[in-house]
Amino acid sequence: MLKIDNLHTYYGAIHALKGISLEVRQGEVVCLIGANGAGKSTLVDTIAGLVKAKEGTIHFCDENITNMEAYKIVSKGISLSPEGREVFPDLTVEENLRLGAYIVDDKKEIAEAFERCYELFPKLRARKKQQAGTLSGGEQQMLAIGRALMNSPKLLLLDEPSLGLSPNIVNQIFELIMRIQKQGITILLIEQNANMALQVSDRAYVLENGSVSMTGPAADIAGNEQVRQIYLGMK
Amino acid sequence: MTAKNQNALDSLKKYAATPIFTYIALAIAFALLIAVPFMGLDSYVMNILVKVSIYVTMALGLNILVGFTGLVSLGQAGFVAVGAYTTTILTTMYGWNYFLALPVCILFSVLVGILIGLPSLRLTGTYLSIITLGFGEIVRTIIIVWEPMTRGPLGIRGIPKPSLFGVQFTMANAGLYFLSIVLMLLVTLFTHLLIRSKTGRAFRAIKGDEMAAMMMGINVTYYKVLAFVLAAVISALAGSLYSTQLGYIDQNTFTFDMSTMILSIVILGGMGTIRGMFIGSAILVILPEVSRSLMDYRFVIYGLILILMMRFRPQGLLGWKSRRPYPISPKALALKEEAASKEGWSTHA
Repeated sequence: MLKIDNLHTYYGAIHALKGISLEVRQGEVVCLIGANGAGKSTLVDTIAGLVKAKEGTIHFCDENITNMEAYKIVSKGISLSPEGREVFPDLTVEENLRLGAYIVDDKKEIAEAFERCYELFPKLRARKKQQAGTLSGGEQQMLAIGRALMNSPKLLLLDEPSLGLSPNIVNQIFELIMRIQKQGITILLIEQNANMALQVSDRAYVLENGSVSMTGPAADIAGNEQVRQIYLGMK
Repeated sequence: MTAKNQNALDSLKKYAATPIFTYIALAIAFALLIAVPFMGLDSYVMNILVKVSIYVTMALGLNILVGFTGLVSLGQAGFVAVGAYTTTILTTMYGWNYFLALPVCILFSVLVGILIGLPSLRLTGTYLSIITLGFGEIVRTIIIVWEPMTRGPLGIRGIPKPSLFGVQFTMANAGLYFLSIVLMLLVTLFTHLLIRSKTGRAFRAIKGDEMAAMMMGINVTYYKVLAFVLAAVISALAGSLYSTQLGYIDQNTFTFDMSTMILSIVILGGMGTIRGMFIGSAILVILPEVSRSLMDYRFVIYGLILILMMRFRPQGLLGWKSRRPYPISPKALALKEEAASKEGWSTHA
């Protein structure tokens, strides 16, 4: 579904991604784990078209989307729930979700998307007239994910969904990820919380200094001695 | 304040929040607008009222840029000048009817709006504001230099009042007043519908977070240029009306002072609100008139007002809506409870 080949991305003179190859198959949850500065967010931003790649290709459903404009990539079926949530604070919950369905023209389809979203996040329904900036961190994260789902994407990119949330909410977020997968949506998950991420994922990639240092089924990665020491804090 | 007074105030506030109250208030305001010319006010007062309504229109235009899309323009007078000069040249030199000249005026301001909107693709914040500032000055310079068309520093005098089917819209028969009110109300209605539309949401999303807006699939570039075009057209229409009211225009009619004035109205009234434009314009147009004795010092007061506003009420005089507590209906409360029990979430996550 998503196939990345030898991707290089630079920030000015800084070589952030050094030849990354990666594949996400239909229906999978794939997670990217790695330390700060390993290039996780850069990779996601490059896929979403926010940062331009210098070399390499990104194919989505057999179409080359490398360096396409970000807003066009959305209409190809890739939706991003950005790091730090980035909801529109001055707009209401409902308006935020409506913007998520910006590329959808069919009114019926939008109504269905609202229904699906409110079913997944009943709390958002109760707060739909409230300004997004007044929601708690956990609710904003749910809104960001709900918003990303409003255009019925084929692939959902989740950038650090557990960032800055209490352990209780983190659990709920990961439960949601599995429920979203059951709806048939493929997910690429970027997480610092490697422990949790590896539990919900089918496969995992470990990023180190801009390149993939390890890949395989999530269970294998979680069992790897080195990963256990570095990312899971176990001996 | 006693508890009883507090109660009375609360119930008054409650009453003011109901839609019926809004409709009644709107109806009264509308009736007043129509009744004004029949009150026998002298022409000086009428002139000020027309000026207020024209500035409301200009402020509504700029509000689309500053209030909704978050692009600060310091060259709004440039757009006003484009509108004023386009219609004036067509009516005085080519003898066109005012209303026939309006479509040309719209077309021309669209082009200029696109031209100025294009730099906004690359520039944001302060840099964009500087560009618009430059634009305002460029327009003024063009007016001075392009003598065959604009008559340069001499200005154009004897601008005819608009007329339709032999009826002239003058200050004396209040036609000009009604014309400015109609334009103001049309633009108000347009803005009202615009913010609630898909386009309006896209504007507000761009203001809130440009990157996130892009991730929603919004073509940010397109909407930024569109915001400029709308602001340009509205200002140009206001400008063409303004020129007929003045009867004489030159490059000094459209100085940086005018741009600041329009921006001040938007900020004073409350960015992103519609009603704020009315209050802001009323205050800032009438204030210099009643304080004429202060002469040039009135701009000191202007500046002072803006500084005090930014310090004590940055959301503008009427920008209170966002502070109002959210009316939570019993139904919504029940839903919240249900959600909490079903998912095992605490209501205060």
